[in-house]
Amino acid sequence: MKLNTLLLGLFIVVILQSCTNKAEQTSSNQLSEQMKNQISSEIMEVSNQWINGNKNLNADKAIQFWSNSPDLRFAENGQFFANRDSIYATLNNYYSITNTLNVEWLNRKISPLSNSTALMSGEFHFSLNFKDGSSWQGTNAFTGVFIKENGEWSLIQGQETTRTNE
Amino acid sequence: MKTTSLFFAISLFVCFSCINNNNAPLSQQEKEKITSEVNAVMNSMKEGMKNLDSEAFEATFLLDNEFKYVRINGKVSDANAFLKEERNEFNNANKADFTFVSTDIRVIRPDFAIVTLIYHGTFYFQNSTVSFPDCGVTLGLVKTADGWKVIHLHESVQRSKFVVTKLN
Repeated sequence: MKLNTLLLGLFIVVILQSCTNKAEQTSSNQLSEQMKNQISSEIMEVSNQWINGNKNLNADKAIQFWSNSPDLRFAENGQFFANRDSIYATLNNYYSITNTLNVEWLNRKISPLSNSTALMSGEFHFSLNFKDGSSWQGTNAFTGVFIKENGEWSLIQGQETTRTNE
Repeated sequence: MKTTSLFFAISLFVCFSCINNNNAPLSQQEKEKITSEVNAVMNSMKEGMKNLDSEAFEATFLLDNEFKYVRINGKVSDANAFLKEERNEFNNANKADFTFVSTDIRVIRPDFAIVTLIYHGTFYFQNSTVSFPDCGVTLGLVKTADGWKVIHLHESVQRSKFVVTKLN
């Protein structure tokens, strides 16, 4: 009887320990290097797809990984869009007056915060040739907060700022 | 035998609770508690800015190697650049006036939150003022042993430039 009780007590301790470990593993700063690398690689891929969607003037592809959550926020040069639909409409309007769009990442730094949250900061260069013959190019700084929803990374927060000479 | 069954039941309960907690979304009550904690940090930051109190302002940040600061001119910089800029303004200004509007706090995880806000304000220097006529800001905060800290700050001025006015 005593042995059974002791064994079961030990069993509970082991379960508690494993639960604590699991909780820590999914918290920030407790991710293994391997996990961090994997998350970084996944975010790199998602942000590449976003760039490709832009290059192809395909609003559906460009907005594909943006979260459908009402928590989504996105700002361009300090102006926050009302919601995902307004971002999509703006992209479509832009693409309808654009002949070619080229976008290239200059740098990206990804900070995995947990196995389902990551922060990205980076800079990209863009150049647009409009249908009216005018053009526009520049460099934007980008902040993105990514969360994993239904097994896929999506953007829950983004902000872009066009570089100025200040 | 009764003790064995009891321990077995407790084990199952503990096991189920752990699995459940790891996947469970935050309750409204938990979100409200975290929102209140993050809001207190935002207030400390604002007071630090208004009072040109570097210590109070900097205490709201986790200024390590991972910290990123996206300046209003669209450049990504680090904690050192952030501190240099902040101390230059705080040490040289005579007065500051800042207002945070549209502060929006979203709790993403129990240990991570995002804040968006618009602020406008003015630094008053001896011979000039620098006004920020509506800056859109994104802040990422993590919960540390020392409370909630900002690990990422991105700000963009809504107009093309901030306004510098020469006095006299």
